[in-house]
Amino acid sequence: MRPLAAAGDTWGISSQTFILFYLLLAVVVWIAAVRTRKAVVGRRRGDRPSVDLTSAPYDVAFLNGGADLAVFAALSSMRVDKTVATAGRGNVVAAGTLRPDADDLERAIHQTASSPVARTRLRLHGPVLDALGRIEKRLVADGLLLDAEEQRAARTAGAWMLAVAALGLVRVIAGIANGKSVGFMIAAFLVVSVIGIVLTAHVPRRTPLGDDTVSMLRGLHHRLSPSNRPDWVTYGAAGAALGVGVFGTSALWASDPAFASELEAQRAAAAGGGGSGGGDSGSSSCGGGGSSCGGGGGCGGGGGCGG
Amino acid sequence: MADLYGTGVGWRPEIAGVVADLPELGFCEVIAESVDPAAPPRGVVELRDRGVPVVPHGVRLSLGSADGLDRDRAEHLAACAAALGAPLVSEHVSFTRVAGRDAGHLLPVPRTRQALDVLVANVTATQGLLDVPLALEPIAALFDWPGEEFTEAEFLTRLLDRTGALLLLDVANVHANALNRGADPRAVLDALPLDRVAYVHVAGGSEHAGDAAHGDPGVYHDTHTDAVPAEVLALLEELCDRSRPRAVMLERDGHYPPAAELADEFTTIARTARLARAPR
Repeated sequence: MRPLAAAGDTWGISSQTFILFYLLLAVVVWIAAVRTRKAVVGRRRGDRPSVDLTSAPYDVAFLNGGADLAVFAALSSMRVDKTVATAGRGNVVAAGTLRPDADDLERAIHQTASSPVARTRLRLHGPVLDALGRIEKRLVADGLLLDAEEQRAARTAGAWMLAVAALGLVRVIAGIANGKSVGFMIAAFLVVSVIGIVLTAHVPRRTPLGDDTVSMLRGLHHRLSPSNRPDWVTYGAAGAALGVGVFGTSALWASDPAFASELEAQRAAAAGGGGSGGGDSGSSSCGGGGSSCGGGGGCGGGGGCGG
Repeated sequence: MADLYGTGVGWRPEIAGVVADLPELGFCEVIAESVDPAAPPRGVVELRDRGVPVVPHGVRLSLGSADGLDRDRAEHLAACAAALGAPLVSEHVSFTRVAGRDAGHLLPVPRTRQALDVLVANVTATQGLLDVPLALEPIAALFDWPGEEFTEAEFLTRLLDRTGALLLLDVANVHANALNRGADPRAVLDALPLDRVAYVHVAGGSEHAGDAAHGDPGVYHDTHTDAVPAEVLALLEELCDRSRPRAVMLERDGHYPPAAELADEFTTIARTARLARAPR
């Protein structure tokens, strides 16, 4: 049996012993970090039911996909209302007159885009920034998004793993200086580092209540799912806003691909997709297997749809 | 007679939310080819579960094809009916395929004895696979084939008599066909076997002006993407004067209007057909 330590061991601890304790420490800290994070994130959950934000589509969008998605939802709605138009190269420009009951965010965008503005820069302009800030504040107050303190606490828990990684790094350096083989230790260090970086960098934005709220809204508004290619003329501006809010930019691509393309929207937003179970095969107006009309212009047996 | 009553609408995924919210929705129709019987669209299932009858409406069965019935498609129609608990199914008096080629259009069947025999054989074979009644819909067509032996009413009456099928009467098609041939649509109604009507389609269309100087009289297109014209509503009223149908529905397949307009059109049809008290 090898002794625990021998004369030439780094810090007087054998490599085998150190790596064993190191891995044990890493696992313990990992579990503690994840548990702490979970506790922090779910702190304000209580027994509250999910929140029906149907009447606040931009809050839904912010909750689902952050400030960018809230801007997309507002632009989609304003496009249906014809209060915003594209101005080439990803720019938008205000048009027409806002409805008297227009939302705070719509007003801010309309004001900001009085001359063409890049869609990606809209959220950086004062009025839009303020409107988005108010949405965020509401969501935090409702316990749907983490507040800054909670995010910091969750990130700190993740950083514990980075401390363990740092210890590993010191040992590797000491081992190399001591002329020892450090292959296993480097591998352990790398694994711990990756876990530490992921835990620190990916702090959830939504609380469990926020997650529940988003999935509840997806179920409630499944008819607006992109798989249905909902018609925004029929559903109106509010439907467009809610569709993008609940299903992400994929809803924009499904219902208004020209606008989506001009806005240079991401095709598969992390927040998008999902939702409706219902199958949907071709269903375009004319042409396509799902339609009652066949083929192009006029469709049908020469006399129109005919069916 | 099939168990449909009230005012219905063609369910389309693009307007699913508005269809679901229509007050006093009597039934809906879904394009059979767009339904996977193993997983029907969620919106349709919800309507069915609410007790709204759902009618699968085939568009590609090609009952007029001389090369025989496509059994897979007929079985699909039957499976849709079973999956949706449909009280009946419907298809067109037309053909879409010849010798394996799909036209992508509903094409008119020549009204001859031979074509009638083909239709009767295909309809009968389809009925053999169905557990529910089949209603047949005459299409809108811009032309008649040369050498036809029957009027449309005679042809339909024979077809329905020989197969026991029901009639899905599209008043917009009657309007389109009459207008495009310079015929009187009321006379066509008089001649049709109205006692066989299971339900009625109402749809929008648009007139395209021709060029009289060059012998082009213009044409009425049964587009399903325009509002229902007053003439079609008037014809619905004419139909009701002769034989009030138990079930009438709006067909809209694109260029959907705002929800309120769609609901208004639905209400107008209900009121014209005297089917339900006007909602709101």
